[in-house]
Amino acid sequence: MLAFAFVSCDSDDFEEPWVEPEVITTGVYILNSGQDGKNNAILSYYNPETNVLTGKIFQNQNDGLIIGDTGNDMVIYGNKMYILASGSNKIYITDLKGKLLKYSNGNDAIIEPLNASNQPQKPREGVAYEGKVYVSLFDGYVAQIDTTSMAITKTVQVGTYPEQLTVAKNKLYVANSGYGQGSTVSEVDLSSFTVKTIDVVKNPNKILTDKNNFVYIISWGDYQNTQAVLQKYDPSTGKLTTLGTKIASKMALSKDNDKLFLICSTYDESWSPTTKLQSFNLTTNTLDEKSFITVPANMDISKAYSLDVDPINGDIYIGTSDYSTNGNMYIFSADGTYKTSFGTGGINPMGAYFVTGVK
Amino acid sequence: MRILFSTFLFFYSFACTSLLAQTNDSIKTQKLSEVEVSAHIKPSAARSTTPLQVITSESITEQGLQSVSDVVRRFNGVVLKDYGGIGGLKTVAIRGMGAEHTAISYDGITVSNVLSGQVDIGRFALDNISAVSLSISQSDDIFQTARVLGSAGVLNLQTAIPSFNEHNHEGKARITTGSFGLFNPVLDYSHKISNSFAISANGSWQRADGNYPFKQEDDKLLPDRKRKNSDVDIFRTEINIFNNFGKSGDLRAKIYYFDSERGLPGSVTIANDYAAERLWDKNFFTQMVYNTTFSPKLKFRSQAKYDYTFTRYVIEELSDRKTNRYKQHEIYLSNALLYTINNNFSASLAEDLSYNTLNNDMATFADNLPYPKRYNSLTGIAAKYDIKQFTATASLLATYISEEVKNNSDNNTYKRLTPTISASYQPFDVTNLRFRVSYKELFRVPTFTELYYSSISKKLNPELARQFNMGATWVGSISDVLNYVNASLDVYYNNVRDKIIIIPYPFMASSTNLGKVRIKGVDLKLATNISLGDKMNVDINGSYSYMEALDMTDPGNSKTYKNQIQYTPKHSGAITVGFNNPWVNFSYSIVAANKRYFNIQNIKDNRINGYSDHSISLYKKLRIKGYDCYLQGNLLNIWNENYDIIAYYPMPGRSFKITGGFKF
Repeated sequence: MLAFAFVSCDSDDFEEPWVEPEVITTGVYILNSGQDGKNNAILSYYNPETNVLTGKIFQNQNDGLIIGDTGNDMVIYGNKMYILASGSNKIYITDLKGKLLKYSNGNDAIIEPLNASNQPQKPREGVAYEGKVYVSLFDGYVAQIDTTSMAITKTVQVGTYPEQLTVAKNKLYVANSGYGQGSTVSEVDLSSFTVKTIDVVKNPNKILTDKNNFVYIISWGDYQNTQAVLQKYDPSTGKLTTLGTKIASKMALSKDNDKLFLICSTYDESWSPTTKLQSFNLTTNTLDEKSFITVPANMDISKAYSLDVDPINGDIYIGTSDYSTNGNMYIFSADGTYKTSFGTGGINPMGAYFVTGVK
Repeated sequence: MRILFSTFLFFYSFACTSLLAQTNDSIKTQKLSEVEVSAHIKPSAARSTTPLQVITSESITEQGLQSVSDVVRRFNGVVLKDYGGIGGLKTVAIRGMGAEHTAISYDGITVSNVLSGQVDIGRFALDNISAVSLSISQSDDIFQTARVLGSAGVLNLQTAIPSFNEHNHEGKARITTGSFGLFNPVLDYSHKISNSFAISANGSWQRADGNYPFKQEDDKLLPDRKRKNSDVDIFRTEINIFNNFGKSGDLRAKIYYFDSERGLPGSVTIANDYAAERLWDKNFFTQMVYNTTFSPKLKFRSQAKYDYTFTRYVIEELSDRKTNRYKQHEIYLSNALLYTINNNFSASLAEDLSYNTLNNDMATFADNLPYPKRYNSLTGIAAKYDIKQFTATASLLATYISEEVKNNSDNNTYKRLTPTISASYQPFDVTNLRFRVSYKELFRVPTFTELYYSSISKKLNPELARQFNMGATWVGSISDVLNYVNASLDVYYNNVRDKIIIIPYPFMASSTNLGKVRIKGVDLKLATNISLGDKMNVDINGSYSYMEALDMTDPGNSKTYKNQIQYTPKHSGAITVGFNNPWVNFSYSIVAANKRYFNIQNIKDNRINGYSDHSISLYKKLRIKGYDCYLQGNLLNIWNENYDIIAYYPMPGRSFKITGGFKF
């Protein structure tokens, strides 16, 4: 009996079933821009596993140093975070816990972009690509930051009052809002840094690229003669198409690249502000008017301010703001079911920024 | 049709015939101000049916007050919103209501600003002012313009009438210099051309660098700072003509010109002290008032004003330069009749017509500039019953405003009837204790900024408010030493409905009538004079305000409901102690307020710390070569306290001023 057992069950034959290491969202940073001139930009950190929000990350990690005025955007890339404060004219480079990194000379990694007349250039939004972080500067430039040296290595002039930027096929696209009067998107070749101008509908502000390298642009118009328009640009053909009018003011790409979630804030016939939540099906190229989330009773969608999608599990994060009290963040699963909500710890949540890592 | 009727009323009151002079109240106190030859109405604060605070130029000098804002900070029931420095915007908000509800008047005629609805009191100087008064709700003088009936209160600056004691001419000159490059010469001259005609002219120049140092403790990158781009260069001139026609009446006319250039330092931004905004203001106005009597019982007063304001704003940033220009015109006519039925009972009727226009260019609104024009008709009727122990006043104001706008906007009209009633009663003969009660309804129409420059929708309702006040006053003397005591205590309740709330441009800006505010408060005032002999005395002036102004807009919103509204301290006050003697007058003054919030959510992040601002003034009269001269020194904010009234607009730290002046 015992001899039989020795032959058929040798411990050397046993192998563990192979499981690929899982990438999860380990944390979500929420950047509250604060109000214009009130120096109250606040970075908060949300742990989706414990459902706990911790506020004032930056000032607690950096001995009371605060982000300052109008924390407009941030980029999480590699093991660094780049926090942009437009009003205070600073780009703060920190580790993934929000602590400022240091240059080799011991100084804090803080960039202050100034133009030739020593005027603040006001960093607005950022995007990362192939070892560099590109930041739009409100005085009409895009700065390239090298992620190793943590310094600006190149600046290129684009249109006036540039806002959001995105990259598709080694070309950078930036929406030149012109502070409401602009109507161009600048295309910057990231090898030669030559700039080409694309004409779009008035007041472009939002821009993103999907996984097929199509570029989507939202122009806000002027709310009266020109309405908000969602456009699609194909970099390979140079063709610009309008996907819909008065359907989007803000957008986010779904995790599976199959739809664009849209928030549209506009005015109705009697000039009252109204908000619609819809989605655009990128496979059929049609608008789905059904709300992409089930709105919970405690949410006022007219205050919807930011829209982001978790790149790992597809959860939808919507931030709300009334411009004077601390904002809220609402989380929905990819199919639109409400999960949870919490206060963001600051005013005007600009977005949810996801930190991912291996579990 | 409405405009036609008011025009008829206007000409009817003009066409009526003669009147009689009314007796004026005078302050029934031991401490009389200098007697002036020409008639000068001095309101009696103790008898008033509504809270009234008056400060004369003599007290202003004794207390060392240098500007209108210095005076206002020592009144109770008000919040002065001061953006710091000489050039910083200064507006007055009464008892928890917005500054748009306060009427600022210059010699009885309201100064208006239809663009923002708030008047910057920093543009007025105290140089030829004889009295500053703050009347909450409404004054008991029913012979006034209809426009003063429509506000939460009136801050009136009364200019001096020359007294010509000895000669046909008189004048004064002074020079002030002080910290941060302050230089301020003033010249005043009056000439009596005949027994019935006099002219006076006044000119001043005020310039300063204004780059005061301050500490910004929450800025670890730039903690020690200086206020940059904070210079001012202001020129003011005023000419007054006094004409006495004997039985036919009297006429007083004024031309006023104000020209300023200033740097706007802006709010303090963490880690960034770039400031490059500049503001040019020019204001020209001319106003006149004609008084006559049609019969022994019927008095008539006609006032007219033309006002032109030009503002140019330039900002240089982001490799760009932007300019905005604004032009406002106002034409104003007011006619009032006072009918004295008998010694105790009088009634009045006033009709005000005014026309306001605004022209401007602003790049952001290039295609949609509204060029608004506003026609206003205000009709006020009032009655007063006055005997020794009892005074009652009632009034009704009918307002009709019509607007014409270009470019995509509907024309708006507003009409409303608002009543006021107030009374004061002295129950005992033996003492001056008086009780008072008053109730007022008021409203304010939206400003041009709220209607046309804040959002796409251009319809807004007016803000409505109710004021209710109860109080007591007492004037008298307690002993030979404590020979003057004036005390008043008022308890009030106000509410504001349809308060206008603006959510700012550029994304989805909107302005709505959503707000509700409930205000409860207590105002306490105490003034006393302690005599220390023939030539020495101590003056003590104290005021304290308790103000609970809560946002009641949305009971479901725990972040805002019943939170104290912005910039309104629960506790605030001022005290000035002056030692008057034949050598050097010395005065010590403290102004203080407790914490405030700069957002409606009352959390620590939105809190501005409380402060106390101490100052010292020294004043010496001299006689040099037969001329009356004086020397004054002020040390302001002596403990160098870094504080803000408006978040991130620091007030100056320790500074000094020296003034030398003389009369001729």
